[in-house]
Amino acid sequence: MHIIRTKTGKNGVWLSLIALTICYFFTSIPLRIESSNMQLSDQPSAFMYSLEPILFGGVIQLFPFCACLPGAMHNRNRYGKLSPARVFTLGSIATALPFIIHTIVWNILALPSNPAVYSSHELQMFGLLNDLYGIAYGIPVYVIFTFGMILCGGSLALVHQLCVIWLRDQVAAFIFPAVLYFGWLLLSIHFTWLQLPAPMDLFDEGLTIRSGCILMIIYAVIIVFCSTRIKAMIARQD
Amino acid sequence: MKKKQLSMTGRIIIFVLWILVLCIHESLKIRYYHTTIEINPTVMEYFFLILYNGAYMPYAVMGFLLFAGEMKPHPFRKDLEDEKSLHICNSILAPVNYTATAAVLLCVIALIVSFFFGKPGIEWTSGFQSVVPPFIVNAMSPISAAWLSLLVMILFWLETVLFLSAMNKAGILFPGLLICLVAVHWDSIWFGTEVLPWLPVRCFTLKAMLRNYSIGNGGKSISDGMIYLLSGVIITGILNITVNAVKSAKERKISPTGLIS
Repeated sequence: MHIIRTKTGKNGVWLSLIALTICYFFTSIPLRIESSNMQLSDQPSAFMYSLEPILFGGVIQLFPFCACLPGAMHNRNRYGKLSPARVFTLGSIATALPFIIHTIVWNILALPSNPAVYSSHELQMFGLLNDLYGIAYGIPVYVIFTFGMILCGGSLALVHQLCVIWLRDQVAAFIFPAVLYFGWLLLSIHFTWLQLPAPMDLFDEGLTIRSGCILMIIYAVIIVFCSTRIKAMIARQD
Repeated sequence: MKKKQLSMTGRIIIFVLWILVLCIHESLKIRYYHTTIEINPTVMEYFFLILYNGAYMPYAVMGFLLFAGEMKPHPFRKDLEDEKSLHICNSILAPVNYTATAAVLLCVIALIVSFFFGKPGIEWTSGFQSVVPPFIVNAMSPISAAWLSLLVMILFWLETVLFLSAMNKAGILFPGLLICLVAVHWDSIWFGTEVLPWLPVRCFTLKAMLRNYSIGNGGKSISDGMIYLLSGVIITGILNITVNAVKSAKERKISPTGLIS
């Protein structure tokens, strides 16, 4: 199989960045077109434009794939020997950077969120976001979301690296983290008595202090488990 | 450490489990919705509704990709010596083979789940017109509607797997995979009103077909959607054969013996 692979997985990072950034803008641009006839003060805030693709769009459905793409397009033999920290960084960059770019662009193009001044910026949100969106132009929310994406993207990239080391079939290794992610999501939807937060709750409206803490513990467990297994496997290979 | 090759049995088990989860997910959604409008669907209605939405196609297609994997040609065709037959086998038969196996498995699982959730019966329940378009209820029985839904799914899967096979041979498997995944999630990515007619997401399930083509005219929606799906299958099939032939020709040039490896 001749896949465009690079020594550093740069192609994968670029492809993820481009794909996710386009998807972000494809969701937020129609909102801008709809409100283009309104006065600037009546238009949605930069906060709304920035979060529209995440809260209402399907961009987060692509996260597990984009987190794994740098690894999938990395030189196969070298990728298996990369340190978990490096893999975590690649996965995080691929998922969190498009959100940061999208947020910065909308904060330049539209008015930053200020519900105290503009009534059109007022929102009725759930969970922790309702308390935070009005503070400092929504920057605390952006920071929390970015942190959530870094954790989620990095963890999925580590799961992918573990699969790559373990399995010969690269497509199976690429899809497996997504099956885990969506399986977890379905579990949290249907088994409500478990009170299990969804994997994307760290960057979604489901964010509460409780769900945030549980998710950080779950992601920490995934990171520690995958890192130790990967290190052990690399040591055995050497 | 020796890497493990995911065996065909392993793939089937993972695919079955994933599709089972999705069918249960769909059935729970159907039951929740129908409880609110006080309708208790029959087994065949459940079967139809699961397939109508493609067992939640954006997720089901992932299970299918996991199942198909790198799509090694079927072992029974390895003995082919005739080059042309080998091309056709690698380009068409292997994808058809995987799609057919996946469709049979999906059918069995959806039927089992439907038996678990639905009340006995094979007819439409009165008041079902409010749930699915009246055209389906008036023109077809639940069984034929379910087969039609399955046919749509099979064609879409075939199109996907043919496209991926071509991308794999062209050496751009993962960008190809990303294109497929963006395409199946397109509805929730692009929020504009204009959606290009040839985008696969517009006809990847019977539900999407009825929603996107010739709205209000059930028969025409289905025939239009089918034309798009079939043309997609033919185009990706031709693309696949072409890429395969080009790649083999290149390999032959490189190989000093002129034999295809």
